[in-house]
Amino acid sequence: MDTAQISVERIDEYRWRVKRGRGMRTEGLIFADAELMQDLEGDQCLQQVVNVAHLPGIVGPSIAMPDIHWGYGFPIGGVAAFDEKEGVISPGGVGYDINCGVRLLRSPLTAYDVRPKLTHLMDTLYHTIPSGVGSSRSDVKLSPKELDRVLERGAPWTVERGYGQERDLECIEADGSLPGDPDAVSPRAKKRGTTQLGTVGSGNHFVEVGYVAEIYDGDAASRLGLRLNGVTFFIHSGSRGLGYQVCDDYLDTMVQAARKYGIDLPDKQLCCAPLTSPEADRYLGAMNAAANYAFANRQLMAHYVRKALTKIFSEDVAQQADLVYDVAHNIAKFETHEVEGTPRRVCVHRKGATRAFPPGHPELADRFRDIGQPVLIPGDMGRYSFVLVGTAGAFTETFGSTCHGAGRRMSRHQARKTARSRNVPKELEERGILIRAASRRTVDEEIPEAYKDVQQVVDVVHGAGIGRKVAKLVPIGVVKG
Amino acid sequence: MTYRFLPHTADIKVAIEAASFEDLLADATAIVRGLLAGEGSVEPREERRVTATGADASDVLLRYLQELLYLFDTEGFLPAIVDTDRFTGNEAAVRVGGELYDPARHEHQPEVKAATRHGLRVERRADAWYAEVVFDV
Repeated sequence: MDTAQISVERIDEYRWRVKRGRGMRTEGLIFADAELMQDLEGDQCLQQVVNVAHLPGIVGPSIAMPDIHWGYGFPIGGVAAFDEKEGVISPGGVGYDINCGVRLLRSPLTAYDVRPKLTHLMDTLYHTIPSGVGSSRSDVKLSPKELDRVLERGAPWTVERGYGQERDLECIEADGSLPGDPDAVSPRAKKRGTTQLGTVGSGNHFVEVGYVAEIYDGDAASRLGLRLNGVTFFIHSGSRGLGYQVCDDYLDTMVQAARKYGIDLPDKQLCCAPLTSPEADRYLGAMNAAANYAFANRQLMAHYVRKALTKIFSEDVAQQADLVYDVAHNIAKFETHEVEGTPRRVCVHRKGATRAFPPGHPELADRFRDIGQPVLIPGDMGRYSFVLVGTAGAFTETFGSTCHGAGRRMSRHQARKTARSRNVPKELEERGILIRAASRRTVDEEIPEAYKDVQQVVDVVHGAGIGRKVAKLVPIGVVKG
Repeated sequence: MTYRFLPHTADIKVAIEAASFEDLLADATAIVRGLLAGEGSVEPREERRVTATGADASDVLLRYLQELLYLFDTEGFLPAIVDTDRFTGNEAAVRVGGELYDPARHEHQPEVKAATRHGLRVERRADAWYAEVVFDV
C-alpha cells in the first residue's frame, strides 16, 4: 500500500508498519484491521504518524491506534514516547483539551428500574450539569486562590470540599492529581477557568446513562462491580477553556523554543522543546495544572450525577453509585518502560489514546493490581461503549497504551448534511435512547454514522493484545453540549 | 467576500481569498461569527479593540482569531463586523463590533476550542490575499 508516497506494509492481522523514510528517526506502527486501514488511505493522519517520527529523541515507533484520525500536529489516536534526556515535549502531542477524558460510575439500579423514570432523570441531569458552548456554573465560582488549589491538587481538592468520596480517588488515573504549577498558568487561562468547573462543554463531550449489555470477562467485570443490566453513568469532558488556553499559550512558547534549540519541524503545530529545557518544565507544570482542573471537573460532574440519583431515587442509591474508573485521553507523562530489555524513563504522549497498565503495575491501586487498569472506550451516542482492562501486551508494545474511542469517519459538514432532513433525537428515542442537547447542530454533527464502529476498534486492540474486553455498555440517555 | 469550507474529518478547515488583508480579517470575522452563532444575525451593538501582533501576517491572523474566541469564552462577545485601523505586516489594530450572546436569539453551536497553526497559510498573491485555517472543534 502506498498512500501519497507513504509506504505502509502489513505485519499481521492487526499491525501495519510505516517504513522509515527521509528525515524519520523511527518507523510508524499502526494498529488496524484491513477495513479500517482501507478507510485511512489518502488520509492526512498517516502523514502525521510520519511527522511525529521526525521528532528528536523519539523512543520506539510513532504509534497509531485503530481509532486514528486527522488531528493537528499529532494524529488523534497517536502515541509517542521520548527519551527524558534527548527527547522533547510537544503541546501538539497532548492537544487543546488537556486531560480530556472519561469516567464511569456504576449504580445498584437496573435498566428496568430506570426506564420509567428516564425522562425525569435526563431532564435533571441536563439542568444540573451545564452543557453546551460557554456553559458555566453560578454555584461553583472559584476565587483566584481556590482556582490555584484546584490547579495544584486536582480531584482531591474536590473531595475535600464534599464533592465525592475519598474512595473515588484511588479509581482515578494518578489518583486524580498531578504535580501542577498554578504559576505556569496564564491569567487568561485562569479567567477562562473561573466558572467552567463542573460543566460538560460541547462537541463530542457528554453525560451518558447506559446499562451493561454484555460481559466478556466475568471475573474482571465482577471486580469492577459491573453486572448485566446494571445502570452506568459515563462522563466525557476535559479541562474546558482553561486547558485550551494553556495549549495556545505554550504553542507560542514552543514555536520560539523549537527555533532556539534548532529543532527542524515538518509541521509548525508539532513545535516542541527539549525535555531538559526550562520551557518544557513550565509547560509540564501548566499541563499538569490543566489536567488537575479536568480531574476536578469530572469529579464535580460525578457529584451532580449522585445528586440527581438522590433526587429521583434515594440517598442510598446515590451512595452506592461508585466510581469504576477515570482515565485521561490527552496527556503527556513521565513513565518507566522497558525498551530493548532496559528500563528507561520516557515522556509518553497520548493524544486520543488511553493508558492501559497491566496487572501488577505498581502505579495501580490494590483493587486493580490483579486485573489490570480499567480502560473506558466510549462509542457514538447510538450504539455502545466498552470497558476493557490493560494488558502486558500494551505495556511491552505501546508504552502501556490503547485506543480511546470510535474515531470520526465523516466530517462535521458531511454529518450535518446527512442529518439535515432527519430528526435525529426522535430517531434515537424510537430506539430507546433519550437525548437532551443544548444544540441541534451538535446532535447532527454527532450522529452515530459519523463515527467508526467502536466494536471494530475495540476488537482490533483486543485481537492485538493491547487491551482486553470486559463489558459492553448500551446507552439509554445522553446529555450533549 | 470569498471563503469556503474544505474537507476535514474531525475539525473545520476554511480557505479565504480576499482583495486585501483588511478584507481577509473581515472574512475571518464572518467565519467566526457563523461558527459561534450560526445563521442568525449578530448586531454591532458594542465594540472591542483588538491588537494582534506576530512575526508575520499568518501570526497576526492567528492571534486575531484567538482573541475573538477568547472574547466569546470569557464575555460571550459575538463578533459582527471589523474595522481595521492599522495593518503593518506584523501588527493589526482593529475595532470589532458585535454583541453579547443571547440564547433566545442566537443559535447554540458546538464549541470551537481554538484556531490552530496546523496547516496555517497566509499568502500575499499578485492581487489577493489567500489564507487557510483549521479550527479545533
